[in-house]
Amino acid sequence: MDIIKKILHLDRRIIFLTLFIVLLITPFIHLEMKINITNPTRRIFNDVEEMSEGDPIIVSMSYAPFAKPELYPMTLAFLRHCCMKKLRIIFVATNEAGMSIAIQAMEEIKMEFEYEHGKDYVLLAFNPVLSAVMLGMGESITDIFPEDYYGNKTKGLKVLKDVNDYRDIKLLMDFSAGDSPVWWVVYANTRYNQRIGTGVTAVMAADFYPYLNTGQMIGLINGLKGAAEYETLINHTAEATEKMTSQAIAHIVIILFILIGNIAYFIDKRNKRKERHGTA
Amino acid sequence: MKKRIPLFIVFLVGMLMIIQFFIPHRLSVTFYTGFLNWFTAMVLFALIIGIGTLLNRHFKKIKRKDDDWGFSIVTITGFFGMLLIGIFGGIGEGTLFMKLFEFVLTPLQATMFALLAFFIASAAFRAFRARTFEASLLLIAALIVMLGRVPIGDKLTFGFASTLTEWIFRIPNMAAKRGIQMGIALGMIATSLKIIFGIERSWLGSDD
Repeated sequence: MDIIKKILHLDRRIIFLTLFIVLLITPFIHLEMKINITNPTRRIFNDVEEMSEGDPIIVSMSYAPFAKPELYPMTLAFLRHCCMKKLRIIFVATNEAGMSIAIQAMEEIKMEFEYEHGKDYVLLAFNPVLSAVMLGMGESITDIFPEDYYGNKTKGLKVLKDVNDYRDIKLLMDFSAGDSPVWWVVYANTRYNQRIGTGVTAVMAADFYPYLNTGQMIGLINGLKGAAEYETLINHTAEATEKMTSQAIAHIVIILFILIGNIAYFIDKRNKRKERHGTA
Repeated sequence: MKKRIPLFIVFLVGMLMIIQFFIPHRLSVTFYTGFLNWFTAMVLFALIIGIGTLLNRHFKKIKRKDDDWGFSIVTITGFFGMLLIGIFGGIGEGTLFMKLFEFVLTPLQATMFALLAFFIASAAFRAFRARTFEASLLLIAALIVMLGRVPIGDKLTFGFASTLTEWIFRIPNMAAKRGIQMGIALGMIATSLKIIFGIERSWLGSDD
Protein backbone atom coordinates (compact mmCIF):
# COMPACT_ATOMS: atom_id res chain seq x y z
CA MET A 1 0.00 0.00 0.00
CA ASP A 2 2.61 2.43 1.19
CA ILE A 3 4.96 1.69 -1.66
CA ILE A 4 2.22 2.40 -4.23
CA LYS A 5 1.67 5.86 -2.74
CA LYS A 6 5.41 6.44 -2.73
CA ILE A 7 5.64 5.52 -6.43
CA LEU A 8 2.70 7.76 -7.29
CA HIS A 9 4.33 10.71 -5.55
CA LEU A 10 7.86 9.83 -6.53
CA ASP A 11 10.36 12.60 -5.82
CA ARG A 12 11.39 14.12 -9.14
CA ARG A 13 15.02 14.07 -7.96
CA ILE A 14 14.97 10.26 -8.09
CA ILE A 15 13.90 10.45 -11.77
CA PHE A 16 16.59 13.05 -12.47
CA LEU A 17 19.27 10.96 -10.74
CA THR A 18 18.26 7.73 -12.50
CA LEU A 19 18.36 9.40 -15.90
CA PHE A 20 21.66 11.10 -15.05
CA ILE A 21 23.30 7.80 -14.07
CA VAL A 22 21.92 6.09 -17.20
CA LEU A 23 23.22 8.87 -19.47
CA LEU A 24 26.57 8.80 -17.70
CA ILE A 25 27.01 5.08 -18.33
CA THR A 26 25.58 4.74 -21.85
CA PRO A 27 28.49 6.39 -23.75
CA PHE A 28 30.57 3.40 -22.63
CA ILE A 29 28.02 0.89 -23.90
CA HIS A 30 27.82 0.02 -27.55
CA LEU A 31 24.74 -1.71 -28.87
CA GLU A 32 24.77 -2.90 -32.46
CA MET A 33 21.50 -1.57 -33.84
CA LYS A 34 20.14 -1.56 -37.34
CA ILE A 35 18.96 1.93 -38.33
CA ASN A 36 15.70 1.81 -40.27
CA ILE A 37 15.55 4.57 -42.87
CA THR A 38 12.37 6.63 -42.85
CA ASN A 39 10.90 7.96 -46.07
CA PRO A 40 11.33 11.73 -45.38
CA THR A 41 15.09 11.25 -44.78
CA ARG A 42 15.48 9.07 -47.85
CA ARG A 43 13.78 11.71 -49.99
CA ILE A 44 16.43 14.31 -49.03
CA PHE A 45 19.20 11.81 -49.72
CA ASN A 46 17.73 10.84 -53.11
CA ASP A 47 17.34 14.49 -54.10
CA VAL A 48 21.01 15.23 -53.42
CA GLU A 49 22.01 11.95 -55.05
CA GLU A 50 20.29 12.97 -58.28
CA MET A 51 22.18 16.28 -58.51
CA SER A 52 25.15 16.78 -60.82
CA GLU A 53 28.63 18.05 -59.99
CA GLY A 54 28.68 21.83 -59.53
CA ASP A 55 24.95 22.20 -58.88
CA PRO A 56 24.35 25.04 -56.39
CA ILE A 57 22.40 24.49 -53.19
CA ILE A 58 21.57 26.79 -50.29
CA VAL A 59 22.14 25.60 -46.73
CA SER A 60 20.32 27.70 -44.17
CA MET A 61 21.70 27.55 -40.65
CA SER A 62 18.81 28.35 -38.35
CA TYR A 63 19.96 27.12 -34.99
CA ALA A 64 21.96 28.37 -32.04
CA PRO A 65 24.48 26.29 -30.05
CA PHE A 66 21.75 25.01 -27.70
CA ALA A 67 20.48 22.71 -30.45
CA LYS A 68 23.94 21.77 -31.70
CA PRO A 69 24.11 18.31 -30.06
CA GLU A 70 20.99 17.29 -31.97
CA LEU A 71 21.35 19.20 -35.24
CA TYR A 72 25.09 19.37 -35.83
CA PRO A 73 25.49 15.64 -36.66
CA MET A 74 22.82 15.87 -39.40
CA THR A 75 24.35 19.11 -40.70
CA LEU A 76 27.73 17.39 -41.00
CA ALA A 77 26.26 14.28 -42.63
CA PHE A 78 24.33 16.36 -45.17
CA LEU A 79 27.32 18.60 -45.97
CA ARG A 80 29.53 15.55 -46.32
CA HIS A 81 27.06 14.17 -48.86
CA CYS A 82 27.08 17.51 -50.75
CA CYS A 83 30.88 17.48 -50.81
CA MET A 84 30.90 13.89 -52.05
CA LYS A 85 28.68 15.04 -54.92
CA LYS A 86 30.90 18.13 -55.43
CA LEU A 87 27.97 20.53 -55.12
CA ARG A 88 28.42 24.28 -54.67
CA ILE A 89 27.24 25.23 -51.18
CA ILE A 90 25.84 28.66 -50.36
CA PHE A 91 25.41 29.19 -46.62
CA VAL A 92 22.89 31.63 -45.23
CA ALA A 93 21.92 32.05 -41.57
CA THR A 94 18.56 32.94 -40.09
CA ASN A 95 20.11 32.76 -36.63
CA GLU A 96 22.95 35.07 -35.60
CA ALA A 97 24.99 32.09 -34.37
CA GLY A 98 24.25 29.99 -37.45
CA MET A 99 27.22 31.19 -39.48
CA SER A 100 29.68 30.30 -36.70
CA ILE A 101 28.30 26.76 -36.71
CA ALA A 102 28.63 26.65 -40.50
CA ILE A 103 32.30 27.69 -40.17
CA GLN A 104 32.91 24.88 -37.68
CA ALA A 105 31.20 22.34 -39.93
CA MET A 106 33.17 23.35 -43.01
CA GLU A 107 36.40 23.39 -41.00
CA GLU A 108 35.78 19.73 -40.16
CA ILE A 109 35.26 18.54 -43.71
CA LYS A 110 36.79 21.03 -46.14
CA MET A 111 40.30 19.52 -46.01
CA GLU A 112 39.00 16.05 -46.75
CA PHE A 113 37.09 17.21 -49.85
CA GLU A 114 39.45 20.08 -50.78
CA TYR A 115 36.70 22.67 -50.56
CA GLU A 116 37.69 26.32 -50.75
CA HIS A 117 35.73 29.34 -49.58
CA GLY A 118 34.63 31.46 -52.51
CA LYS A 119 35.26 28.66 -55.00
CA ASP A 120 33.26 25.68 -53.72
CA TYR A 121 31.30 27.21 -50.88
CA VAL A 122 30.45 30.64 -49.56
CA LEU A 123 29.30 31.95 -46.20
CA LEU A 124 26.95 34.86 -46.81
CA ALA A 125 26.68 37.56 -44.17
CA PHE A 126 23.95 37.26 -41.55
CA ASN A 127 21.07 39.62 -42.17
CA PRO A 128 18.54 39.96 -39.33
CA VAL A 129 15.67 40.94 -41.65
CA LEU A 130 14.68 37.40 -42.48
CA SER A 131 11.58 37.97 -44.57
CA ALA A 132 13.41 40.52 -46.72
CA VAL A 133 16.29 38.08 -47.18
CA MET A 134 14.01 35.19 -48.04
CA LEU A 135 12.06 37.27 -50.53
CA GLY A 136 15.05 39.21 -51.83
CA MET A 137 16.93 36.04 -52.77
CA GLY A 138 14.13 35.37 -55.20
CA GLU A 139 15.09 38.53 -57.08
CA SER A 140 18.89 38.58 -56.76
CA ILE A 141 21.14 36.77 -54.28
CA THR A 142 24.12 39.10 -54.82
CA ASP A 143 21.93 42.20 -54.41
CA ILE A 144 20.60 41.07 -51.06
CA PHE A 145 24.09 39.86 -50.03
CA PRO A 146 26.56 42.30 -51.65
CA GLU A 147 29.30 40.97 -49.34
CA ASP A 148 30.07 37.56 -47.87
CA TYR A 149 30.77 36.82 -44.19
CA TYR A 150 34.39 37.95 -44.56
CA GLY A 151 33.54 41.18 -46.37
CA ASN A 152 34.43 40.01 -49.91
CA LYS A 153 32.24 41.25 -52.76
CA THR A 154 29.87 38.43 -53.74
CA LYS A 155 29.64 39.53 -57.38
CA GLY A 156 32.44 37.72 -59.14
CA LEU A 157 32.82 34.87 -56.63
CA LYS A 158 33.40 31.61 -58.51
CA VAL A 159 30.93 29.73 -56.32
CA LEU A 160 28.16 32.14 -57.35
CA LYS A 161 28.89 32.00 -61.08
CA ASP A 162 25.58 31.78 -62.99
CA VAL A 163 23.68 31.89 -59.72
CA ASN A 164 21.27 34.80 -59.68
CA ASP A 165 18.18 33.78 -57.75
CA TYR A 166 16.15 30.79 -56.56
CA ARG A 167 15.66 29.59 -60.14
CA ASP A 168 19.33 28.59 -60.18
CA ILE A 169 19.25 26.78 -56.84
CA LYS A 170 18.55 23.05 -56.89
CA LEU A 171 17.64 22.71 -53.23
CA LEU A 172 17.34 24.87 -50.14
CA MET A 173 18.10 22.88 -47.00
CA ASP A 174 17.21 24.50 -43.70
CA PHE A 175 18.63 23.13 -40.43
CA SER A 176 16.42 24.57 -37.77
CA ALA A 177 15.52 24.50 -34.10
CA GLY A 178 12.52 26.76 -34.64
CA ASP A 179 9.86 27.56 -37.21
CA SER A 180 12.14 28.93 -39.95
CA PRO A 181 11.31 26.04 -42.35
CA VAL A 182 7.73 27.34 -42.44
CA TRP A 183 8.95 30.81 -43.44
CA TRP A 184 11.11 29.35 -46.18
CA VAL A 185 8.00 27.56 -47.45
CA VAL A 186 5.92 30.74 -47.25
CA TYR A 187 8.44 33.05 -48.92
CA ALA A 188 10.72 30.87 -51.06
CA ASN A 189 8.50 27.94 -52.03
CA THR A 190 5.07 29.51 -52.38
CA ARG A 191 6.27 32.59 -54.24
CA TYR A 192 9.31 31.27 -56.12
CA ASN A 193 8.73 27.48 -56.23
CA GLN A 194 12.05 26.88 -54.50
CA ARG A 195 12.53 23.23 -53.48
CA ILE A 196 12.83 23.07 -49.69
CA GLY A 197 14.22 20.35 -47.45
CA THR A 198 14.65 20.57 -43.72
CA GLY A 199 16.48 19.06 -40.79
CA VAL A 200 14.89 19.75 -37.42
CA THR A 201 14.95 18.80 -33.75
CA ALA A 202 12.73 15.80 -32.95
CA VAL A 203 10.48 17.94 -30.76
CA MET A 204 9.68 20.23 -33.72
CA ALA A 205 9.33 17.58 -36.43
CA ALA A 206 5.60 16.99 -36.02
CA ASP A 207 4.93 20.62 -37.02
CA PHE A 208 6.34 20.13 -40.52
CA TYR A 209 4.59 16.97 -41.68
CA PRO A 210 1.70 18.89 -43.32
CA TYR A 211 4.24 20.52 -45.67
CA LEU A 212 5.74 17.15 -46.58
CA ASN A 213 2.41 15.79 -47.68
CA THR A 214 1.65 18.79 -49.89
CA GLY A 215 5.10 18.60 -51.51
CA GLN A 216 6.04 22.08 -50.22
CA MET A 217 8.93 20.33 -48.51
CA ILE A 218 10.67 17.54 -50.34
CA GLY A 219 11.92 15.77 -47.22
CA LEU A 220 12.75 16.05 -43.55
CA ILE A 221 15.58 14.82 -41.33
CA ASN A 222 14.01 14.26 -37.95
CA GLY A 223 16.24 14.70 -34.88
CA LEU A 224 19.21 12.57 -33.93
CA LYS A 225 17.56 9.43 -35.33
CA GLY A 226 17.19 11.19 -38.70
CA ALA A 227 20.87 12.15 -38.55
CA ALA A 228 21.79 8.51 -37.86
CA GLU A 229 19.64 7.51 -40.84
CA TYR A 230 21.49 9.99 -43.06
CA GLU A 231 24.85 8.72 -41.82
CA THR A 232 23.73 5.19 -42.72
CA LEU A 233 22.66 6.34 -46.19
CA ILE A 234 26.03 7.96 -46.95
CA ASN A 235 27.91 5.02 -45.39
CA HIS A 236 29.67 7.23 -42.90
CA THR A 237 28.94 6.20 -39.33
CA ALA A 238 29.64 9.13 -37.01
CA GLU A 239 28.34 11.01 -33.98
CA ALA A 240 24.59 10.47 -34.48
CA THR A 241 24.87 6.68 -34.85
CA GLU A 242 27.13 6.56 -31.78
CA LYS A 243 24.66 8.62 -29.74
CA MET A 244 21.78 6.32 -30.67
CA THR A 245 22.67 3.94 -27.81
CA SER A 246 22.33 6.74 -25.23
CA GLN A 247 19.07 7.93 -26.75
CA ALA A 248 17.68 4.38 -26.97
CA ILE A 249 18.43 3.51 -23.36
CA ALA A 250 17.18 6.91 -22.11
CA HIS A 251 13.88 6.34 -23.98
CA ILE A 252 13.56 2.86 -22.48
CA VAL A 253 14.14 4.27 -18.97
CA ILE A 254 11.46 6.95 -19.49
CA ILE A 255 9.05 4.31 -20.86
CA LEU A 256 9.72 2.14 -17.78
CA PHE A 257 9.00 5.10 -15.50
CA ILE A 258 5.72 5.74 -17.35
CA LEU A 259 4.71 2.07 -17.13
CA ILE A 260 5.58 1.86 -13.42
CA GLY A 261 3.59 5.05 -12.82
CA ASN A 262 0.56 3.60 -14.60
CA ILE A 263 0.74 0.23 -12.83
CA ALA A 264 0.90 2.05 -9.49
CA TYR A 265 -2.03 4.27 -10.55
CA PHE A 266 -4.24 1.27 -11.39
CA ILE A 267 -3.32 -0.63 -8.22
CA ASP A 268 -4.11 2.48 -6.20
CA LYS A 269 -7.43 2.88 -8.02
CA ARG A 270 -8.35 -0.75 -7.35
CA ASN A 271 -7.40 -0.42 -3.68
CA LYS A 272 -9.51 2.70 -3.30
CA ARG A 273 -12.46 0.91 -4.92
CA LYS A 274 -12.03 -2.04 -2.56
CA GLU A 275 -11.89 0.31 0.43
CA ARG A 276 -15.09 2.02 -0.71
CA HIS A 277 -16.90 -1.35 -1.13
CA GLY A 278 -15.53 -2.46 2.26
CA THR A 279 -16.88 0.56 4.08
CA ALA A 280 -20.22 0.35 2.22
CA MET B 1 -4.37 63.98 -38.77
CA LYS B 2 -2.11 62.21 -36.29
CA LYS B 3 -4.03 59.02 -36.98
CA ARG B 4 -5.20 59.58 -40.53
CA ILE B 5 -1.72 59.70 -42.09
CA PRO B 6 -0.52 56.37 -40.59
CA LEU B 7 -3.88 54.77 -41.51
CA PHE B 8 -3.55 56.03 -45.08
CA ILE B 9 0.05 54.75 -45.38
CA VAL B 10 -0.96 51.32 -44.07
CA PHE B 11 -3.93 51.17 -46.46
CA LEU B 12 -1.85 52.25 -49.46
CA VAL B 13 1.12 49.95 -48.82
CA GLY B 14 -1.13 47.02 -47.88
CA MET B 15 -3.21 47.35 -51.05
CA LEU B 16 -0.15 47.85 -53.27
CA MET B 17 1.54 44.76 -51.82
CA ILE B 18 -1.59 42.67 -52.44
CA ILE B 19 -1.97 43.96 -56.01
CA GLN B 20 1.73 43.59 -56.95
CA PHE B 21 1.65 39.91 -55.88
CA PHE B 22 -0.76 39.15 -58.73
CA ILE B 23 0.90 41.32 -61.42
CA PRO B 24 4.20 39.93 -62.75
CA HIS B 25 5.01 43.23 -64.58
CA ARG B 26 8.50 44.88 -64.46
CA LEU B 27 7.05 47.90 -62.69
CA SER B 28 5.52 45.69 -60.05
CA VAL B 29 8.86 43.87 -59.50
CA THR B 30 10.73 47.21 -59.22
CA PHE B 31 8.24 48.42 -56.62
CA TYR B 32 8.56 45.15 -54.76
CA THR B 33 12.40 45.11 -54.64
CA GLY B 34 12.40 48.77 -53.65
CA PHE B 35 10.02 47.97 -50.83
CA LEU B 36 12.30 45.14 -49.66
CA ASN B 37 15.23 47.58 -49.40
CA TRP B 38 13.07 50.00 -47.40
CA PHE B 39 11.93 47.16 -45.21
CA THR B 40 15.54 46.07 -44.50
CA ALA B 41 16.51 49.63 -43.55
CA MET B 42 13.47 50.05 -41.29
CA VAL B 43 14.02 46.78 -39.44
CA LEU B 44 17.66 47.69 -38.81
CA PHE B 45 16.43 50.78 -36.98
CA ALA B 46 14.30 48.47 -34.85
CA LEU B 47 17.45 46.48 -34.06
CA ILE B 48 19.20 49.63 -32.87
CA ILE B 49 16.21 50.47 -30.69
CA GLY B 50 16.26 46.91 -29.33
CA ILE B 51 19.96 47.08 -28.39
CA GLY B 52 19.43 50.52 -26.86
CA THR B 53 16.51 49.29 -24.77
CA LEU B 54 18.43 46.22 -23.58
CA LEU B 55 21.45 48.25 -22.46
CA ASN B 56 19.33 51.00 -20.91
CA ARG B 57 17.35 48.48 -18.87
CA HIS B 58 20.45 46.71 -17.56
CA PHE B 59 22.36 49.92 -16.80
CA LYS B 60 19.35 51.17 -14.82
CA LYS B 61 19.18 47.88 -12.95
CA ILE B 62 22.86 48.15 -11.96
CA LYS B 63 22.49 51.80 -10.95
CA ARG B 64 19.49 51.07 -8.73
CA LYS B 65 21.04 47.83 -7.46
CA ASP B 66 17.77 46.00 -8.18
CA ASP B 67 17.35 42.26 -7.48
CA ASP B 68 19.91 40.11 -9.37
CA TRP B 69 21.72 43.20 -10.66
CA GLY B 70 24.90 41.12 -10.86
CA PHE B 71 23.46 39.28 -13.88
CA SER B 72 23.08 42.63 -15.64
CA ILE B 73 26.85 43.13 -15.33
CA VAL B 74 27.33 39.71 -16.96
CA THR B 75 24.95 40.68 -19.78
CA ILE B 76 26.67 44.01 -20.46
CA THR B 77 30.17 42.53 -20.16
CA GLY B 78 29.19 39.70 -22.54
CA PHE B 79 27.64 42.12 -25.01
CA PHE B 80 30.54 44.57 -25.18
CA GLY B 81 33.16 41.84 -24.72
CA MET B 82 32.02 39.87 -27.78
CA LEU B 83 31.48 43.08 -29.75
CA LEU B 84 35.00 44.40 -29.13
CA ILE B 85 36.67 41.00 -29.55
CA GLY B 86 34.82 40.58 -32.85
CA ILE B 87 35.68 44.08 -34.11
CA PHE B 88 39.36 44.07 -33.15
CA GLY B 89 40.21 40.35 -33.28
CA GLY B 90 38.13 39.26 -36.26
CA ILE B 91 35.40 36.60 -36.48
CA GLY B 92 37.04 33.99 -38.69
CA GLU B 93 38.35 30.53 -37.82
CA GLY B 94 40.89 30.35 -34.99
CA THR B 95 40.08 33.82 -33.61
CA LEU B 96 39.31 34.47 -29.95
CA PHE B 97 35.73 35.26 -30.97
CA MET B 98 35.30 31.77 -32.44
CA LYS B 99 37.05 30.16 -29.46
CA LEU B 100 34.65 31.88 -27.05
CA PHE B 101 31.76 30.79 -29.24
CA GLU B 102 32.96 27.19 -29.40
CA PHE B 103 34.18 26.68 -25.84
CA VAL B 104 31.94 28.98 -23.80
CA LEU B 105 28.66 29.72 -25.57
CA THR B 106 28.15 26.30 -27.17
CA PRO B 107 28.61 24.20 -23.97
CA LEU B 108 26.57 26.68 -21.89
CA GLN B 109 23.62 26.65 -24.26
CA ALA B 110 23.87 22.90 -24.82
CA THR B 111 23.80 22.36 -21.04
CA MET B 112 20.63 24.42 -20.72
CA PHE B 113 18.95 22.48 -23.52
CA ALA B 114 20.13 19.13 -22.12
CA LEU B 115 18.32 19.87 -18.85
CA LEU B 116 15.11 19.57 -20.84
CA ALA B 117 15.57 15.78 -20.99
CA PHE B 118 15.34 15.59 -17.19
CA PHE B 119 12.24 17.77 -17.00
CA ILE B 120 10.59 15.82 -19.81
CA ALA B 121 11.28 12.54 -18.00
CA SER B 122 9.75 13.88 -14.80
CA ALA B 123 6.77 15.44 -16.61
CA ALA B 124 6.17 12.27 -18.64
CA PHE B 125 6.08 10.18 -15.45
CA ARG B 126 3.41 12.39 -13.94
CA ALA B 127 1.37 13.37 -17.00
CA PHE B 128 1.13 10.13 -18.95
CA ARG B 129 -1.44 8.36 -16.77
CA ALA B 130 -4.34 6.48 -18.32
CA ARG B 131 -6.95 8.40 -16.31
CA THR B 132 -9.41 8.92 -19.17
CA PHE B 133 -9.90 7.58 -22.71
CA GLU B 134 -8.21 10.67 -24.23
CA ALA B 135 -5.31 10.44 -21.79
CA SER B 136 -4.93 6.74 -22.68
CA LEU B 137 -4.74 7.62 -26.38
CA LEU B 138 -2.05 10.21 -25.63
CA LEU B 139 -0.17 7.68 -23.52
CA ILE B 140 -0.25 4.98 -26.21
CA ALA B 141 0.81 7.44 -28.93
CA ALA B 142 3.68 8.69 -26.74
CA LEU B 143 4.91 5.17 -26.04
CA ILE B 144 4.81 4.23 -29.73
CA VAL B 145 6.63 7.41 -30.82
CA MET B 146 9.26 7.00 -28.09
CA LEU B 147 9.91 3.45 -29.24
CA GLY B 148 9.77 4.38 -32.92
CA ARG B 149 12.38 7.12 -32.55
CA VAL B 150 15.14 4.73 -31.43
CA PRO B 151 16.51 1.67 -33.26
CA ILE B 152 16.07 -0.55 -30.18
CA GLY B 153 12.33 0.10 -30.38
CA ASP B 154 12.28 -1.43 -33.83
CA LYS B 155 14.24 -4.41 -32.60
CA LEU B 156 11.77 -4.96 -29.75
CA THR B 157 8.71 -4.59 -31.99
CA PHE B 158 10.08 -6.18 -35.21
CA GLY B 159 10.03 -2.85 -37.08
CA PHE B 160 6.44 -2.15 -36.12
CA ALA B 161 7.23 0.89 -33.90
CA SER B 162 8.88 3.07 -36.56
CA THR B 163 6.21 2.23 -39.14
CA LEU B 164 3.46 3.16 -36.70
CA THR B 165 5.37 6.29 -35.62
CA GLU B 166 5.53 7.49 -39.22
CA TRP B 167 1.80 6.78 -39.57
CA ILE B 168 1.05 8.82 -36.41
CA PHE B 169 3.12 11.72 -37.80
CA ARG B 170 1.65 11.51 -41.29
CA ILE B 171 -2.06 10.97 -40.55
CA PRO B 172 -3.51 11.96 -37.15
CA ASN B 173 -0.79 14.52 -36.35
CA MET B 174 -0.99 16.07 -39.80
CA ALA B 175 -4.78 16.29 -39.73
CA ALA B 176 -4.72 18.13 -36.41
CA LYS B 177 -1.82 20.40 -37.41
CA ARG B 178 -3.44 21.26 -40.73
CA GLY B 179 -6.68 22.24 -39.00
CA ILE B 180 -4.83 24.45 -36.52
CA GLN B 181 -2.66 26.04 -39.24
CA MET B 182 -5.64 26.81 -41.46
CA GLY B 183 -7.37 28.42 -38.51
CA ILE B 184 -4.27 30.54 -37.80
CA ALA B 185 -3.91 31.49 -41.50
CA LEU B 186 -7.54 32.59 -41.77
CA GLY B 187 -7.14 34.56 -38.54
CA MET B 188 -4.03 36.27 -39.95
CA ILE B 189 -5.84 37.18 -43.18
CA ALA B 190 -8.80 38.58 -41.25
CA THR B 191 -6.55 40.59 -38.91
CA SER B 192 -4.45 41.90 -41.83
CA LEU B 193 -7.56 43.05 -43.69
CA LYS B 194 -8.89 44.71 -40.55
CA ILE B 195 -5.59 46.61 -40.17
CA ILE B 196 -5.44 47.57 -43.89
CA PHE B 197 -9.01 48.89 -43.85
CA GLY B 198 -8.49 50.71 -40.55
CA ILE B 199 -10.99 48.64 -38.56
CA GLU B 200 -8.31 47.38 -36.19
CA ARG B 201 -6.47 50.43 -34.80
CA SER B 202 -4.87 49.18 -31.57
CA TRP B 203 -1.41 49.34 -33.26
CA LEU B 204 -1.76 53.15 -33.32
CA GLY B 205 -1.58 53.23 -29.53
CA SER B 206 -3.84 55.19 -27.21
CA ASP B 207 -4.69 58.89 -27.49
CA ASP B 208 -2.72 59.70 -24.32
